[in-house]
Amino acid sequence: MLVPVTVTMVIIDDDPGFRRAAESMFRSLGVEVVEQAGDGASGLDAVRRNRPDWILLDVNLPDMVGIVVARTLHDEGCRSSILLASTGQSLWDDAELAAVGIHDYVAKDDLFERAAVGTLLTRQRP
Amino acid sequence: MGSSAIDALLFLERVPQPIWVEDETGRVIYSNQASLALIGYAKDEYWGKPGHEVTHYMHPDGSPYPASECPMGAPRLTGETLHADEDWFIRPDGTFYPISWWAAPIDLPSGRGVVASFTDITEQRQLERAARERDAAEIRADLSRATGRRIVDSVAAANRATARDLHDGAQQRLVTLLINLQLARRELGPGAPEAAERLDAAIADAKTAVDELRQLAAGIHPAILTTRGLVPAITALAKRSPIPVIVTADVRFRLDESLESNAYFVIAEAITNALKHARASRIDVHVELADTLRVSIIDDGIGGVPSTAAGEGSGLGLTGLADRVAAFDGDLVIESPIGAGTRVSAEFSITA
Repeated sequence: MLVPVTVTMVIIDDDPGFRRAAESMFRSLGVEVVEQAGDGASGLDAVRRNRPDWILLDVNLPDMVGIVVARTLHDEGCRSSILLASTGQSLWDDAELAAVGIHDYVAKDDLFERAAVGTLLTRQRP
Repeated sequence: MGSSAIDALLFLERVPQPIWVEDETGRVIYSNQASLALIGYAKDEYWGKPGHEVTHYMHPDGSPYPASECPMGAPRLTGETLHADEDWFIRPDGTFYPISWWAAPIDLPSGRGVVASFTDITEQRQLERAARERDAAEIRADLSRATGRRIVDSVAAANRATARDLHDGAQQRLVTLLINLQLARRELGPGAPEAAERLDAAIADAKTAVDELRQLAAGIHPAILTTRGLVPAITALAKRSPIPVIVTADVRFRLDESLESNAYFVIAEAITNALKHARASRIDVHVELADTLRVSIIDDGIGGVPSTAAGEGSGLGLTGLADRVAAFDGDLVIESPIGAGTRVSAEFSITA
């Protein structure tokens, strides 16, 4: 018997309102948000504990920038895919993001549309 | 007079230093050529006269100066050698000139006299005054530069903080609001068309607000400037231009935040100005870091921007650029011949 495989996610963002909204949105896509974290250090712990399929990672965290969280995980050989999110446009190009193990970038205000047209959580590991 | 005394007089005649000798009564019995040339009297107008009454009879404030109070004659009485750094002599036309002098006792056959020499210090005083004025002007310029620098630094810091607050605060709230509205709209279903319409309008408004706020924050201080520095920020700006903006840059280091932000806004302002007024088809931006940070923005438009355009109150978009550059002890040059494009060049000092 085939058991449907749930896609898991850890959300790392310092805004609790955004975390709740994002969790609702991803849940509607069939994603299970297994843990949320409000800063980089607890985010790293959450990822190490849960080994999620995806990480929704904010660009600016109170204790470190998102890029540093990504690089740390990348250097640890973490196999989770990372979706970097911010309220602005991306400050990096795809190659620069790939170099620190980030698979995709999304502007937070495009999150819903990207989900609606099915282009979220589709990019493969670089 | 023996031959050695004659030799001494010939020698004194040739000395360029003004020297004269007064006898025990204060009358001039000798003055060399340099002395006569300087005081402006002929030999027969001076020799035999009380020296003090010819060149030294009045204080610069116009009050009388009796010989009995003049220290220049004192060596006759005391046998001491005296010196004054600053005193005043009077020309034949009654005007004063500053002098310094030495006066020493000399034993003459008739009694103890005075041998004196003086130096006209007019030029020295002028040089000293000019040097003082130059120093004062430099201090004023330094202060004004330091004040200008403090102002642009604090403005840059305030702008960074404002942009960050907008980004972390209002923008973040709006994005969350937008996602919640979108979720609500989806959960609403088909049963409430009026509410759906209202939600669609609210979603559209929230999106517009997010965009406007993003542009506002970027205009105050672009996030990419904070995160990645001058050249990536300029490159991102160039990508948004409706005409080609070609950036060539040789800056491998992050610079002082205030310098980066002021250089960025000089470039951004020059690009905006070229887009608005120059009817250009291409803009070139060069950024070069050596002993100074040099930036130039060159368009191929209609030119004719007055070279004073960067000054205060010129009414053009370049207003205020000169102040930004001056705060970094730099120069801003605008070359804009009519019909031949505009080149804005700015050079910033990179030492704090």
